[in-house]
Amino acid sequence: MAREHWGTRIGLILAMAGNAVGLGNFLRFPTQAAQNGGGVFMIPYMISIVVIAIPLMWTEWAIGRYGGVKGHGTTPAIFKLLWKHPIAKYVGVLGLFVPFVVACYYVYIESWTLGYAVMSIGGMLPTEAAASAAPGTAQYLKPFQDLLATYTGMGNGNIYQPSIMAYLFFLVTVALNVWILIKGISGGIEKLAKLAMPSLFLMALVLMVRVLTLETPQGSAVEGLNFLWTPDWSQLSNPKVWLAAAGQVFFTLSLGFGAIITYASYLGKNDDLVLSGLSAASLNELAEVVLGGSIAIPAAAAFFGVMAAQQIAASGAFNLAFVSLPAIFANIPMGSLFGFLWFTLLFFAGLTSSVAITQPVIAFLEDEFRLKRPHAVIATMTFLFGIAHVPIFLGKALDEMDFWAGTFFVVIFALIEVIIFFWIFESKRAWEEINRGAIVKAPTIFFPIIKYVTPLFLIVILGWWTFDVLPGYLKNGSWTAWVTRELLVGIGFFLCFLVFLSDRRRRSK
Amino acid sequence: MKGTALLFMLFSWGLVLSLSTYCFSKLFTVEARVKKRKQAKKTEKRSKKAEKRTD
Repeated sequence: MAREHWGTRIGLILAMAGNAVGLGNFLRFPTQAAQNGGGVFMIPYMISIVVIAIPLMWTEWAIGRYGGVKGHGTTPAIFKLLWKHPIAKYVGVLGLFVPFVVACYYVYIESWTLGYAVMSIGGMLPTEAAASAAPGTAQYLKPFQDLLATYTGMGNGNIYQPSIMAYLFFLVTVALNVWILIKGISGGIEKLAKLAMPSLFLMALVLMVRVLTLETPQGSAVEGLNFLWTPDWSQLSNPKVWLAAAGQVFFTLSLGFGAIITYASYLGKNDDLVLSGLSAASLNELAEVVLGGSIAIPAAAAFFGVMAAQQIAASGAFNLAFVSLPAIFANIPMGSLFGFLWFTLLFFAGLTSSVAITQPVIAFLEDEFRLKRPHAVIATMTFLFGIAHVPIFLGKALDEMDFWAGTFFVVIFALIEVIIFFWIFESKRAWEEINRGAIVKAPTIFFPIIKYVTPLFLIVILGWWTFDVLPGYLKNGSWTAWVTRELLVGIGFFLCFLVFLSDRRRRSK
Repeated sequence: MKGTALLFMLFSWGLVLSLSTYCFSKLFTVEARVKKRKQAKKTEKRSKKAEKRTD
């Protein structure tokens, strides 16, 4: 069975950018920048892009293309090609585990954005409170907080009770993902990227212009930009700011998720990856630094004042996306339209990412078990649909899954990738692999950076999380957290078993 | 807007925009070159075939 390929280079770049551009570009980046030194955050951010993001991105593209040429699109088989050791294929399970577990809760959050987009255009979001209460008060945000609590059913209890509407939109989102994925790489994912990415940029541009022209008695968007970009030089010597910047560039490019590897496996043997990878990363940075930084925080500052915007930034991404911004849009002319644009933008960002992180398991079933694409998609999405009920109904499960799969194992997996490719596979071969077919050769300075600096940086991030963040999580003794952890271990063992079966199947043939 | 804030914002925007412009202009020029080469090869093949027929 011949493997699929991308139809066009621009389609591939847009799909890769779609994988990277997610909710974090519009919500996580501005809050991180605001909390970590404002404008000065960009110094460690840009350095991290050079020493972590670009090297890791090229590494993942090269690993993927190398595996794809030999008929494999996922890390269990590719690691075995790069590292002739029996354990290599089980180490590669992380390349299935991380994207699959993240996809299980990501699709649910993505469905909220679809639900809110429909509610916005349908005039179903609260407006009475917006008219009666003065902006900046807790009373003003309360209807939107209540709506989010009712919609998701997320309270303080151990069992959540989402609204029927939330569940229906979840079903619609799953169905949409299945439909796109069944159509294949060039017929589904690439077409989606070609439609969704330009629309996303256009919507973000419209919102940016509207937000930057906002002015209320509480403040203006320019004050928000001032708040976001004013450098706090004292923060430059704070290691936490450097780690926050490193973490941000890591997540913004979806590194360590296995999705880039699988997408790159559909490249031809001599297709360029240096410039294509850089182009996809540049689109992601455009969405993050220019558009992401000019919507949420400036809008919050214009409406609630700079002091309140600081509190809103600290209250987290969900609050910013589903409480503060709808509250703002509810009180401006044509607010329902701008609310619709905001949530559709987030939905497109989510959809292009969710199909990317679901693809590795599908590719694994296709490549290693020779399943036909529709069967592989149905099997994967049925499994995903079942597991997704855990974060939907079980209290704190979403946070737990996000911490382990979406944060901790991502860094471990990225470190393993670099070590296997640049230390075990041999650095010269790895460097040749990166530069094969390159339109523009990667600058040679990146060779020592990828070999020494990137793994060192990753070890520092991992060490900080292990000693600073991990103990706090492990102390969380609620039974829901432990049930989720046991489930994650179960998923890990199940994927290992699948890898074992695929290996036995290959040997018997 | 404050001077330093504006400076940092414009510096960051400039960096990102120039990277995107460089990447895509390079990509599109290469794509155009490849297309031209392919077309040239096609026309060459056609003309050779036509020559053979007339021979």
